[in-house]
Amino acid sequence: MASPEHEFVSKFLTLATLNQPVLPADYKKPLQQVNSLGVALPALKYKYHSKKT
Amino acid sequence: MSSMNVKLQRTLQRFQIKIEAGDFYEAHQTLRTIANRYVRSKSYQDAIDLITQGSLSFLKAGQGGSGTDLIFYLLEVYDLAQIDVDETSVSRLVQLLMAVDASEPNLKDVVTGMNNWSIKFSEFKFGDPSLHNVIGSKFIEGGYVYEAERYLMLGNHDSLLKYVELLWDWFKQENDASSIGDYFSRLVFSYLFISNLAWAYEAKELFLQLFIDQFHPQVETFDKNGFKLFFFSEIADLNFLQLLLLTCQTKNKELFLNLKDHYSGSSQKYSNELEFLGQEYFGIVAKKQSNLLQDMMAGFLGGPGGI
Repeated sequence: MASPEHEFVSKFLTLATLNQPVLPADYKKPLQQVNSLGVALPALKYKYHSKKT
Repeated sequence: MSSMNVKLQRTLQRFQIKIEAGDFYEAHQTLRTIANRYVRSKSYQDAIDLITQGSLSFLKAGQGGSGTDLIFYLLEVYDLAQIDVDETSVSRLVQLLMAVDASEPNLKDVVTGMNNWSIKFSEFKFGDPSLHNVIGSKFIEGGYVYEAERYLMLGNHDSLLKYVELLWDWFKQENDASSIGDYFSRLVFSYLFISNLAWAYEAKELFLQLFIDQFHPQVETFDKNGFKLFFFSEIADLNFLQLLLLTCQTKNKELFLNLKDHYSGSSQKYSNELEFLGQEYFGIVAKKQSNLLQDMMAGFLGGPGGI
């Protein structure tokens, strides 16, 4: 029994890979050309415990 | 160091004797005086050698205050002498940074100083990647993980491995499987933000494989036309994030909207991130937050709304 999500994923993958994607999977914009870092990611729920204490 | 002149070597020997005798104040003052003399006569290379060695000796002797003071001085000389970012100039800073204790109170200022120099004297708008790699490690050691993350995402390939390891360690500290998506999402978004698909894919593979190997979740692997997806029947966020990666690769706006529509929970949770990606990959111009009062005022005054 496939779930609705399973079905969606399967169809989506078919559609999305129908044509060669615009950007190759190994695409990497050179860091010299990076002008924006996007948006700040929210803090995680848990605090990181430093190993060196 | 073989090219270092004899006079400089003798100065350093005398300096080293003072350090070993615990005569730190005296050693610091003398070294600065001599370095000043080199700087004034524009003998920058001598000044750089002297200050670097002096700083390293202080740091090794546990004198973080004097050691880091000399790092700032070195950066001043770098700036004066217009030292470009190259292997030699960076590795000198790397060597010093590694010697700085992670609990040094002005660690962040040292890092900022170094990075600012690398921004000014290289083509990288956010600084030199190999320097970032070492900064990332130092920050993890000091527990400044969010700062570490920013540097690692702009680092070299080694940084990618450290970034995955950091998030995995962090996740493992609580072992709360329901939060796995929060950790994984950071890798996906960080690399998508800077258009580094290659490393987004590599990080995805490494991180999800760790999760699968150690947590044995229900998973099925899809492989379609070269795109591999781990389908987690109980963790929709992970599926969404993987599909998002592929969608950005296609730059297909319809697919993006379709994906967002289907995963409304994830879309709400990551609305800020998706808004940025929408602009970056799909040319979707973000709606300006409308402010009724401001719009009305702008209308009265005949100016454009917003700032």
